[in-house]
Amino acid sequence: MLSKLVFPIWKQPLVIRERNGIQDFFPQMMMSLVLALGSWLYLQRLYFCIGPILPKKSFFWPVLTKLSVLLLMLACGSYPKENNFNETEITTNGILNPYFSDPSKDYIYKARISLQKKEFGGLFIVKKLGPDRHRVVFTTEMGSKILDFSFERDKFTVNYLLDEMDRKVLINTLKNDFRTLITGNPQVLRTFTKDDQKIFETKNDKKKYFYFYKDGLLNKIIRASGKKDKTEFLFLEARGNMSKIIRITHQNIPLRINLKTIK
Amino acid sequence: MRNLIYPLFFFVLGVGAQTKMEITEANALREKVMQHAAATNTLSVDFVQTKHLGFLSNDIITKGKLAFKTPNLVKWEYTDPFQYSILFKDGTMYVDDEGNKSQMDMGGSKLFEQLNQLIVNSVKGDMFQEDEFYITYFKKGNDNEVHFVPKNKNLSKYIKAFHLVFNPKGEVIQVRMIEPSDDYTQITFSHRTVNKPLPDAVFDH
Repeated sequence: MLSKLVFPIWKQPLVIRERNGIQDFFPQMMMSLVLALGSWLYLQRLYFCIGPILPKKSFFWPVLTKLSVLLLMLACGSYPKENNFNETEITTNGILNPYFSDPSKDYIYKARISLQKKEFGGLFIVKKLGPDRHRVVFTTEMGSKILDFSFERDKFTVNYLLDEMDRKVLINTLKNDFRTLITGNPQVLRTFTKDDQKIFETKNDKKKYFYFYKDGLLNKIIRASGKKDKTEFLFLEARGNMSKIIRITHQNIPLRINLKTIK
Repeated sequence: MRNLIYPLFFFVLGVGAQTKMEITEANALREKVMQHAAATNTLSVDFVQTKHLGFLSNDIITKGKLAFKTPNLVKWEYTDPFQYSILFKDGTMYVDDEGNKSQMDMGGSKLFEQLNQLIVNSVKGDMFQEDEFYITYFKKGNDNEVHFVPKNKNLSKYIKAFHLVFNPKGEVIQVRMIEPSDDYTQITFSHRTVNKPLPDAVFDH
């Protein structure tokens, strides 16, 4: 199955935008067809019953036509309920990602980064400086700065970058990863439930992300666009607005970032 | 009243500030420090590292031990709030990150080698190379403070200045490395043991 190829690390694959074989949707398609036929027949009845009474130029004709189209759309719109996800009404209660949202807090993590076959460590430092402003700095354990980024809404500034790190692909990847970590309220497109999890489909900087909640805590963010481009953010040992351990794993490039809080 | 308060304010500030040294005093200090450095074969000292970033509410404090053996064996061992050690030995940097061991040939990073050499020199106090730094000497209470500003443009991209504080014995008690952005890393030393034999095992990876 596609899910096993794309998401091999999921023990229980939560399929997001997967289209399975037509056989999986056959019952739903039949249901849609029956509903569509039913509503068409109902409208025909309406037309036949009301039609003769209505004057030819009545305002009710366009309303009736629109109503029929709407009913048809509703019937056909029961369209795949995203496999095991049950779509629900959009509800957001508060900040979607609270882990870097406290401006009074200095977020300091001991980081371990593995890029290709190289491993290196350092300190990952995040500070919220305003409603939509964050500073993200990475230093070696001995204090030398490796990178220093500023985020403000859609604006992104490189304040400092070690020459050896100055590669466009790497900067873009880190920019996307860090932006995902620090964004508190991305635009919610849809919400779902699955077992005891609540899932939000969101959009951030033109990319789609899925936020997974269990027991009211954000424990995972998945970025899935296309087959290969997938990134997973795991939040472990979270309490309140602090996640003690954060793991970022990329599928398309050999990059892993492990963060462990030191204060 | 205001006329009284302003001079008083500046007077109080002036007491804590540093004053520039006379040339003879500066020469004497340099002599003392260099003699001390030359006579240091082994060194073991506790350190407290303070990382100051202007945008943070509090500085980041890390603690550990530093061991040095002539000519160029250096080990920084962080013990709080995490276990991490970095050993410079034979042109290679060995890292032990909470049990995860790795090594890096420093030939690949000239900057790292240069920075390490500077740190070693600053710990020993042996940084008085007039061709590499603009050097200025200050008195600060009983202690002395010396500022080193790199002349090399490549280095000054990373470090704006080194500020070293020496106690009256000529030992380095504090090193502050200031970045061009004015953020800095400050290392304060205590419990210094000089020329006490250090077992080779200290410098094993």
